Amino acid sequence: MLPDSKHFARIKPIAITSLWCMIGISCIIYGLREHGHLFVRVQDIIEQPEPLKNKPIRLGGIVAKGTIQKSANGISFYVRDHLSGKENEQVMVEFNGILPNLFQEGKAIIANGYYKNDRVIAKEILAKHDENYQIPGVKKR
Amino acid sequence: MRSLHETLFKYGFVPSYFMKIANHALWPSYLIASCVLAYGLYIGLFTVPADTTQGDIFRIIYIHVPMAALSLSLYIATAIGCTLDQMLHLKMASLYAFACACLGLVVTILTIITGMIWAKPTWGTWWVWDARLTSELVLAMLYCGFLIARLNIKPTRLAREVSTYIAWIGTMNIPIVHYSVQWWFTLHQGPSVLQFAKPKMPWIMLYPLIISGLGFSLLCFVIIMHSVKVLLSAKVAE
Repeated sequence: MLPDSKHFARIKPIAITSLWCMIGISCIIYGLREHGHLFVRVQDIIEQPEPLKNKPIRLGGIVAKGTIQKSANGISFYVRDHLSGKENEQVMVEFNGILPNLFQEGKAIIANGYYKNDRVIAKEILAKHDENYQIPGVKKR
Repeated sequence: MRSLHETLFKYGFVPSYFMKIANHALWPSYLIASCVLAYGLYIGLFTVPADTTQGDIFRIIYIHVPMAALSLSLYIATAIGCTLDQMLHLKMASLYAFACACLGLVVTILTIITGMIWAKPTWGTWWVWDARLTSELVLAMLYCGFLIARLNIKPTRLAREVSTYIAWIGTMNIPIVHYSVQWWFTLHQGPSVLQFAKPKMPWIMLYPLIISGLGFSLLCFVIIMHSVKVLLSAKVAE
């Protein structure tokens, strides 16, 4: 019992309706694609800082090495871009609160807070784990 | 001499033949599936060394990743079952679709729960509205919509048709869930295993994942068989 043209005729209305719905929803998602990002990159802030000033922001990037400074008012560090790898493009983040366990130099974070005076005043820091898993005793290549 | 697809069709979709297999093979199949799963989980949860950065919490990968993969494949299975039902008017295919959707909803919710348990100590939060997590939640909503349509619309012939529309339109969420971490910047990491490249973990961590994935898949398969057997004998959700 293999399907023939009669059987395909039965699902024709379902196929056509679903296809049009899918095309419509795809257009909506394609139009909103720039809004699907969870965080703003360092590069975006450096290129266009004006529209972001004094507004809530989620900044994503990598904690630059050797920039973590601890003081009585909390912690401050620089974040560099996670894709471009340009060391000179950095944004300062200030934070006073509990850091996640995976927070360390050279690892990705997301800072959730306000963008003020060329720096991000974070209310929350989240650690982003990458897709690499490693057992102890093996050097990362 | 019958051809293979005819034999498969007979035992899969003709109720009397299906019951003949289901009555004898169900409990041995449960035993095999549980043994494979128990072996995979035992290695994964007890003998594999802990991850360097995450520590022991990484072991939840042996439940979370198979569950996530199954939540997507069960949705595709649901859509295929619905299509066969509409094309060939096979009552068994619609029962398969119903069983897949019920199990799929459970698996999707378990994916989200295990993910949240991992996320709190690793990321520092239970939930963020990033693309991967949100599209997985949409998948759970699609399963709910499918089951609500299927169980509440009368007559049942109409319910089967309406739920087919939902299943078909919802399939476009499957590539969105899978590629969300590549299309958008998300907190969820990219794929470590399910991709066309070298796995991003050593073999000693990977092989328990393959075994537990196989175990979960077998268990889901047997649970679907069992559900269809129960549905056939109880004549619910026709």
